[in-house]
Amino acid sequence: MSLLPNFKLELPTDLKEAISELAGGNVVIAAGATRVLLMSYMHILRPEVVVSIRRIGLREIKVSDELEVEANVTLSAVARNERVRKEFPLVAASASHVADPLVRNKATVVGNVVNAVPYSSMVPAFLLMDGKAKVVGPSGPREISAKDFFVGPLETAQRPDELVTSLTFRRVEGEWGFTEFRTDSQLPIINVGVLRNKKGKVRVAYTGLTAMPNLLDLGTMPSDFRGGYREVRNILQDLSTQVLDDLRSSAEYRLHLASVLTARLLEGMGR
Amino acid sequence: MTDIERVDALDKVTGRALYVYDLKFPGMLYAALVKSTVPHGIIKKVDPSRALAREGVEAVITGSQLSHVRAGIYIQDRTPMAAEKVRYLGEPVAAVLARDLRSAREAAEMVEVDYHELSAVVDPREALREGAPLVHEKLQEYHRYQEIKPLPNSNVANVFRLRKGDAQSILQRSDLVVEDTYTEAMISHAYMEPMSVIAWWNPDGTLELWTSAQSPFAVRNLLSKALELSESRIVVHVPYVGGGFGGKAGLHLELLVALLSKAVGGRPVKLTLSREDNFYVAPSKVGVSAEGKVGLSKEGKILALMVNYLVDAGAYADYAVNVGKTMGYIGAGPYDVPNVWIDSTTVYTNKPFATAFRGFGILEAHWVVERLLETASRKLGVDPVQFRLMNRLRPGSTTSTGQRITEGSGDLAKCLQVAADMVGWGSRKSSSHPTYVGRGVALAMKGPSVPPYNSAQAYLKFNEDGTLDVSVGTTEIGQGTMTSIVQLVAEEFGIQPNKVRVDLVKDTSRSAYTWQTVGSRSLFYDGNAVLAAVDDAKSQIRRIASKVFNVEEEEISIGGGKVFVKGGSRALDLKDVVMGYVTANGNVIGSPVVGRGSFVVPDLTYLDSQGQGNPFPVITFGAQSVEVEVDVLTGVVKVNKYVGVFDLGRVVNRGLAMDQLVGGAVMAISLALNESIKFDEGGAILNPNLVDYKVAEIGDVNDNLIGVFLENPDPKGPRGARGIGENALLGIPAAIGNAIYDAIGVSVRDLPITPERLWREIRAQRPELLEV
Ligand SMILES: Cc1cc2nc3c(=O)[nH]c(=O)nc-3n(C[C@H](O)[C@H](O)[C@H](O)COP(=O)(O)OP(=O)(O)OC[C@H]3O[C@@H](n4cnc5c(N)ncnc54)[C@H](O)[C@@H]3O)c2cc1C
Repeated sequence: MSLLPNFKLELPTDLKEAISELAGGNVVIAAGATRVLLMSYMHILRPEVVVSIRRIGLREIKVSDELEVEANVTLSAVARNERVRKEFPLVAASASHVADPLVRNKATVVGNVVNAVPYSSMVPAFLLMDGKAKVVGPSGPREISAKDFFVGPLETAQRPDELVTSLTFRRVEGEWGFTEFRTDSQLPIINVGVLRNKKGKVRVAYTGLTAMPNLLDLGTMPSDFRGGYREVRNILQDLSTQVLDDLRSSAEYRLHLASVLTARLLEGMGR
Repeated sequence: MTDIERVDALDKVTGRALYVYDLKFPGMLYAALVKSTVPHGIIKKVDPSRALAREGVEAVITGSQLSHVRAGIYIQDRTPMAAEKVRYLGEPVAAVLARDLRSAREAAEMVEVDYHELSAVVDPREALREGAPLVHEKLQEYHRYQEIKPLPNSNVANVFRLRKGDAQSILQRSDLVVEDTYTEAMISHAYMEPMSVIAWWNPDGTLELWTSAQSPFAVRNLLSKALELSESRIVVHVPYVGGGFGGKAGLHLELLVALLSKAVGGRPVKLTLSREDNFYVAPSKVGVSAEGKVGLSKEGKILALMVNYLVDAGAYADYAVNVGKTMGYIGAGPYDVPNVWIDSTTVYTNKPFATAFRGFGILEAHWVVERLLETASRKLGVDPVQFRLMNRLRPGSTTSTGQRITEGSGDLAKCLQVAADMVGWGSRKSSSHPTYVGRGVALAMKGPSVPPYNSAQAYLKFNEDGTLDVSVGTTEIGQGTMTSIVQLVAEEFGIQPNKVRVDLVKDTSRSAYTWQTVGSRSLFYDGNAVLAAVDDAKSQIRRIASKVFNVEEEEISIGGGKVFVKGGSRALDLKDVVMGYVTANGNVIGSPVVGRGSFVVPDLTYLDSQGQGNPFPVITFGAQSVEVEVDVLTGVVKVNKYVGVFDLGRVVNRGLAMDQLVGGAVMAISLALNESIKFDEGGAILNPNLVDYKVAEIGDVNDNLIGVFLENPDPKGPRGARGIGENALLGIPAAIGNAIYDAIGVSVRDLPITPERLWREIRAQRPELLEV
């Protein structure tokens, strides 16, 4: 049995209270807590205070011309929501590929994106769909665009005293594809999302390829596997020196996988 | 026979089953280990002062305080904790005892240890080099079994040799010689319940232990030797166990915890490992590399086999030396090969140590022999199934140790034919780039790897209402033997299974003895012992009834819960006989019935200096086949279908046998495709958790897993039965490797076959498949 390090658990019941708990000290926010607890059990994270936001509401999925997912919405909730599946299928698909049902029933979409880990499955959709993070701190609310949200490896743009209240995803017309790839770990070594808009322009986003997520405009792409593979391979060559090389996969294999998986998605969309 | 429900099922699904972790005694202290931060080094100083000052801490015991006691089942190469030097990163050097677990764990981080670091040897091939750092400098001084022969001033813990015929010169004269090298990673048993032990000394000097162990009597025996305490002064309790797979055979943390308890005046002390600690402190499966060479005639007859195994034991020999030996003496396995030459060298390295693992060396040898022979048959252009049929063991032929195969050994040829047919051998495969389909087969052969004298007892005692309590020594570690025991007894007396109670949890002072719960021996040994106890009880019952009915004992029959005269109408309820029959006037005929039984196979032998002899009390033959699908662009292998065919002699409980077959298949597919403990150059484990140590989960394995059991009875088996527990795994990794070759013509030699590894092999062997 592993033991959690000692910490104080705060359970605020509204947003204001939650924000005030965040001020000062070694404070960690927990939503689904799947990562917070895991890191704490491994003693990688040793917070003094854990602020659980489970009781502050923020459980809604709002669908308009964009999709807004609030901070306490789980991956399962998004994955099985009918409107999300129909109108934002890339989001639903990404959520349904994370881990297993037990993790998805607890883990939140916001927590997954804020994690900013190289294996995050939600981040590609967030980037591809011009996402925005709505953030509230002591000085009030602000919005951060997905492009500006990831500031370093495992690092996001909200300040430690700010809480992400929701993420939005823009509605996009066109074709989409998503896949994740695992080998001998529970965690994916790479996630790939692609969108092809009405004009045939393709955007692709990766997590797990380099230390930070990547969003690339590929322009018009061939839809046969061979053509797609060759083009993607060429384009990714620029990134080759930054590709992650770790326990789960070598850089070489990752780069190869990125090209294969992207080309497969492009081919699949074309059918 | 009709299946009955598992006797442990309700306890387990309701959460009522207690494991050592659930137990707590008055005044109990909790232990936490201080683990080495270097892979190899002299312990210069252990400073417990900060830890001792912490609230809740009662004592800190260092390795050197316990260094007068030595342990190790074949070589006494270890002390309960590291004393003078540490030999692997993560090795315990001290233990903190505290009133609660948190205090113990936190204080353990406060114990300061200074090391003088020594150069370490992590790679077993390096360990063999002249001038390599020595893991054990005083190897030759250790107490050991005669048959184990460490080489002085080296890292070699043992070399096992098998010589049958003259393989070396036959190889020179063979029409075709095929050579290859193979490796197999160290892996974790990944049982659900990490190790947990409680020790408590009674005022009269009796040691009581509660432990999550497979083999309570082996724990007792080895403790008795280590502590120089008689076995009757040691009581080992084994409650429910959350899986063992070989990892909990023998003596592990029990000795340490017993000494910790002693150090605090006999107070109960509990040590439970976290998953991460379990990866380091509890032993794993050996790593293997092998060089194989096979010589054939052009007609496809195997003339000679040579294999040189190098077995990585890690820092202590534990069972690894015997695993290495068994890997050696299985030799050519299920094949009739007149000339066999095997060397199996077990070496020490500065890594966490290894022990038994389901399959006990024979699993490892199947990867080597079945892959090598597959390559040979392909080179010769002989169909791999025909090749195996031609070269298989059959009645009259002898195994590599010279043990004779008889008509009663089962039908190996039929196993293979069924396995090949059912997987669609020879039928069309629907491959289309980049997905290729292939099929592979492998034979499987194993008997228990046990010393000749290993044995079992059983007893049963009747209760006043005619129900009965049965005791055997085997522990219930998930394999289901207890259920089969109940079923055998119930059937013998013709009573409902719920009238038979078996001791699901063990207490060495009360339970019948069995040597160990290992080696797929349990139903064979304990089943035979129980049937002997049944016979004993029946003869007592017949004696009583014959007097009541005034007939000869031979005329009495027992069945359907009744005792009756054959062919007659007179019958008595069992309950009216089993406590002694009371006559109308109050006299009693007979007395309460207690059945006693035991079992040993009298004609087994030790192996001689050439590795020849009769080691197996029983052999189970089988054949395993798979169909795989290989995505060449990613290297991902999917097992579409698995067929396992075993000649079990007699199936006692079909559901349980199928559980072993399916569970074994999942385990073997998982270890073949995913599992390895990954080390960095400094001997640290990079994946000591179940996130990056990947064990197959429900979604990872196709449920197209098919079992077929043949029933050609074994004359020595209980009702003819043979074991299946370990056999379920044996040929699967090789069948997968063979199927990959069948699919894409790429030869894999290294386990596990991860996608990246296979992709690299494809690139090296068939680059054209990757051209896009
Ligand atoms: C076995 C296993 C398998 C997994 N497999 C995958 C996978 O395949 N793909 C994948 O993408 N992920 C995977 N994960 C990771 C998992 O998806 C994430 O842990 C989860 O999505 C995080 O969500 P959470 O709500 O549990 O976050 P928490 O653990 O509560 O928080 C995660 C991080 O985000 C911060 N945070 C959370 N909410 C907010 C907020 N509202 N405002 C500001 N900061 C916040 C926390 O402080 C913390 O740093 C796996 C995890 C496990 C345990």
